[in-house]
Amino acid sequence: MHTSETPRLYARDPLLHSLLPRLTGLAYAERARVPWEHDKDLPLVLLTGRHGMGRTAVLTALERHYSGRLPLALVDTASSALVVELLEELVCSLAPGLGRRFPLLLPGLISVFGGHGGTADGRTRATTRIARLLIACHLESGTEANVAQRWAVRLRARLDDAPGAGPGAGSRPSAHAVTHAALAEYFERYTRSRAAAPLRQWYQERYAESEGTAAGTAADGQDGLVRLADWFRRGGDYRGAAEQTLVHAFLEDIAAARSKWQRLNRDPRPLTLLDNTHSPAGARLVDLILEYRARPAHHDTLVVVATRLGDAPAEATEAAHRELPDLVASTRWRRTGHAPSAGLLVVPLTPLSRDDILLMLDAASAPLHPYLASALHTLTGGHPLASGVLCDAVLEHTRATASRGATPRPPDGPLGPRNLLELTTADGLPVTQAILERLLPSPQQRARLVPLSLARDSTAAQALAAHLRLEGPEQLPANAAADYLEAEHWQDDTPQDRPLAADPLLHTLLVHEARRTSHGADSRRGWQEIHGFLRRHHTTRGEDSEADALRHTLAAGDAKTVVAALSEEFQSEQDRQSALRWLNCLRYAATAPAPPSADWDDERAAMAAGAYDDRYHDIDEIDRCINRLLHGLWYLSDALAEPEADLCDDIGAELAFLSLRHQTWRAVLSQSARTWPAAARDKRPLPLPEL
Amino acid sequence: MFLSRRNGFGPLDKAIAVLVPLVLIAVGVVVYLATRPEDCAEGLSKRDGQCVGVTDSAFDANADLKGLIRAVADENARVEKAWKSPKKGQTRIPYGRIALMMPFTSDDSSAMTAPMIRRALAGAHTAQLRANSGGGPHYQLLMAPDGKDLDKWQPVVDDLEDLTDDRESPLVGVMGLPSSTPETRDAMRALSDRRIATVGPVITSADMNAPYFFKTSPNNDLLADALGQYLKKNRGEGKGFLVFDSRPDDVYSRNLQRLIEKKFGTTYGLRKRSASFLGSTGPDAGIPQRFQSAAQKICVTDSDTVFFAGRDQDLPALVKRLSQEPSCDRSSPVRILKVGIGLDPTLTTPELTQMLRDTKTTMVAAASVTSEWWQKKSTAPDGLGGFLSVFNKLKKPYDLGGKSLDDGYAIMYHDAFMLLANAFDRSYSEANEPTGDSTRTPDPVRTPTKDDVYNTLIDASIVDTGDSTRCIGCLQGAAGTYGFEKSSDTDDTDQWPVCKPVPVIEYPAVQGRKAQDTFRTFEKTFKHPCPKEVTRSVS
Repeated sequence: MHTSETPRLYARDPLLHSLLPRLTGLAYAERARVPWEHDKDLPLVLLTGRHGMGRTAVLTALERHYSGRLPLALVDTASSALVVELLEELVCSLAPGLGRRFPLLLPGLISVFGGHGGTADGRTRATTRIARLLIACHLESGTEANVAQRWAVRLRARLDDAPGAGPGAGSRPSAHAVTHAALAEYFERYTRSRAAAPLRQWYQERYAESEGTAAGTAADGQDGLVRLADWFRRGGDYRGAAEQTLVHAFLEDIAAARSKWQRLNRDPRPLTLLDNTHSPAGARLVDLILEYRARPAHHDTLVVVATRLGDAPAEATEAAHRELPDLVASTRWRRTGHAPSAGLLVVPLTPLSRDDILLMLDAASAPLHPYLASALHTLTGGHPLASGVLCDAVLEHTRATASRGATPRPPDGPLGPRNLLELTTADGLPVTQAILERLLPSPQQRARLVPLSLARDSTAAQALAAHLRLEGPEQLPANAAADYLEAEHWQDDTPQDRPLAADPLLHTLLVHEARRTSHGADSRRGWQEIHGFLRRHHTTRGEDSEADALRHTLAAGDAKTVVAALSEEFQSEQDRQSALRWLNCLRYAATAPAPPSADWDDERAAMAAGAYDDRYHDIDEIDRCINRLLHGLWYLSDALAEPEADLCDDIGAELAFLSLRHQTWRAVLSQSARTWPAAARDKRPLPLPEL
Repeated sequence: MFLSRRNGFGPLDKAIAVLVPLVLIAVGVVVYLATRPEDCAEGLSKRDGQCVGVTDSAFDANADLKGLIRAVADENARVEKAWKSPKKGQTRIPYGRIALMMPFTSDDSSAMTAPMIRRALAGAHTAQLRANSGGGPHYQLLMAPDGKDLDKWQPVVDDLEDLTDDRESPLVGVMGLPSSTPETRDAMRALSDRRIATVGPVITSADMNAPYFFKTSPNNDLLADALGQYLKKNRGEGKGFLVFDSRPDDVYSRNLQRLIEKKFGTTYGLRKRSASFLGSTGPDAGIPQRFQSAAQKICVTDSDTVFFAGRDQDLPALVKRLSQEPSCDRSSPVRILKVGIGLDPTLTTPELTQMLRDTKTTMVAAASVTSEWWQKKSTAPDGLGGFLSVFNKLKKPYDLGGKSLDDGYAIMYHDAFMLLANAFDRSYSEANEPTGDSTRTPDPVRTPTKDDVYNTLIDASIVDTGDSTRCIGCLQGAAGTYGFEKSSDTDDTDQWPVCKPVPVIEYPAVQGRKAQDTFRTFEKTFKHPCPKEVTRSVS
């Protein structure tokens, strides 16, 4: 395999090698203690970023390096709907490494789970959870099923013996009774009465204010715990309060588990990694932890690293924001306010640099195209996932090419920047498809977005959707696609005059996916057909849409029409304003995506260099010049194209030639002749001359 | 602890990692110090691998000394107990300390051979037992090993000086110093400088003199005079030959050679007839005991009177060489004249005796003691009987051997101890003479110091009554009754014994020779002969 067992993380060193060691007190990659940056009050580190920015990869790397060296829990908070289930997973992961195994939290969780099964299935699940907790806390040993069965049998016996509960099979014990029995079973079997008293007291004090009202239902001092289960069952605000109590019990257990010896010996702190805390349960857990820490003198020793899709929650106004490079020496984080969000340290994950990509391609077995890394970086913008998949595909391709016996992989011939998107992954999937599946998890929305990405803006997309008869539960498929992108935190809003997918990488990928999946000229969903429809759509929308119409014409491969239109305008218009419009039209039309290679040969570079001028002997030299200029610009507008110096210089020469052939546009065109080659070389947007 | 050490080491871990080895090392060091085999006994310290110092308890020395050292240590402990915590109903008995400074270890080239050491210690212990069995103060016999080559005397002398400050049980004096070597001379002078009375039991070099250094044996000069007296009566053929130890640093041999050359050189023509050899005592300087040339010369020159200026240890080799020498005539008798404390048992082995008889050779030795004394009781000095009665009891338990008295060491060491003990007794009695109505003071009002002991020793004991010579306060020793003359500028005896009998031994005994007058030291300086029956003044 080309990917080693421990994939390397690029550009995350400040986080892995600096921040986390200072929080846990243990070096990331070596067996050494590191001085703590924060003595008592710890920040909750929140890693933010879009899909594919490597949030989970950071957590996985942390788990891989710290696992077995300190108490560690990695929990995907999106997998559970309830905070208590997350707590249970945390207990199961952390308990083996801690000296004291959650004496406070355990009865709380058991009381909640014990009464938490209305149905037989629910009861089994609850019993299994209790069994897992008992095993993790070393109170029981054996397989989960055995322990669960023993627990169920003993609970059953207790319920049968209870006064008032007849042995009749039909009478189901009340949730109250079950909670009672579960707690009695737990306390009598697993704790000594002397140790149990302070625990009950703790829960009792949490509900001190309501002691008088429900005292009748409580018995032998368990009322605090019973009420906890009761409130949890009631849901709503009550459940919130119960969850708060449990999270506090969890954190107090963590703090109490740390002995004086461990503190003086600077033993590493326990580490909890919470993935996807934009999920409701995850967000709630993070909020409850922050809330606990915001209380004065409530300190625990748990290092929490959470990830969140998109940005930090909008309501976290007092959160501290740090860039990755800020973390190298010190976070300089100190609690500045009383709001819970003051305990939050937000670290956005940033894209990779061109140097990182060079390093990623370093393992190639054969020399690569010198511009390949740059092209890849320009294409992905340093997006870690896309860069990773593409680099792996490049490495796989060079390896397959190097070994003669292997079946040749697409693209055929030498690998250059232009055919980067035609690569396939190790599994044989086209790279664009592989990346899009990760970036846009919903297949339905993905299928929608692929053709709609060809549209210039929402209106066009809407029209195209109608034309393609895209169907779905929503009224307006284009709007639904835009909403989906917003929900996946690709963009905050979708302006009417912009393409649906605003992210350049996503847009490029979607367009290429549309090109790749085009079904030929005949199909309604074919490339030509869609662009034809869009050209017609823009033509009907009015004057301002001329450039769009030309762009789609070009995208459909019909350069001749575009050249004719541009030439006609060049020769008929005189005022300088129209010169700018002409340049804009030229510039914009040249951004058209290239047609699928199946029904179009890419000869743009050669055409721009004038290699095929003999084909155009029927038109005059101005048309030939515009033809060369258009093809040159079209070629260079491709994100993957290398800005070859000759081509860029040719752009200037053609514009200079045109400037001499026009009566009034001389100044504007010659200015562009000077500025455009430089902009093209730097892959900047081509500037329009100022009037 | 949590999981493995994959999470690094914290400050406490590191502290423990540092402290635990340190504590273990510290414990190890403490255990080692506490349990390591004690190199030297209490009071002794290690110098160049030998234990030297002063001690009153048992310590490691020659294996055959173990019993004797233990006996001395037990007696010392008993003496101390009798003073510090006497049994109920018994009065406290004060005690003095007499240090026996000599080697307690030996090897092939050491100053004293192992049997010599054993006999010397046995003699001193005999004296200690005798002194402690009577009235008056008791004595501890401190053992002060000063190295087998006598060269570690410096720390011992320092330790001894410290003991003189003790008011309750002071150091009475030092005895021992067995051999006339430069080291002994330095030690003697150092002790004298510290005004500590010292007795050399077996010192015979005439130049071993210091104000505080007393000798119980006659010096070589006196011994040679005794030989001279003998030779006057037994002239022989007048053909002399001198065999001398060539070690330049051996004070004894040098002194002896000079004396013999002075006294007999002219008469016996020793200037032209002499041969040297390398004695076995002392540091390695070549192959010792090479007597071939000497034996050849003796035989070739037909010498009948061979003067031997060397140590007794080397004499058997000369006799053996002579008996093997083919150029010898063997028809005329040969005499080997020597001086010494006594006859070392190695000189009277059956094998050697047979050789002497075969070659018609007689050893003629002027000595401090003679075996005749205990073989024919009539000639014995008055003090010998008391000594023998105690010494004979020690013979068996400590395996002292048949000829344990022959070399004279036991007797001379006994006398040295007695000399110091007597002086202390007398000083003590005088210091505590009942003055007032109380007849006896249970505790000494005044304990004599080393200076008192010295003053007692140096007090002239031979007095001229006008018509005879009387001995007051003389030592009635096992080797005769003798005293010391007060030093004077004109007639200096240099703390050599006065009126000490010097018997001349012939070995093997010549049949039918009549008894001869016994030479008495310094007798000529008196108008009248030395007293025959000297009565020891009773203290």
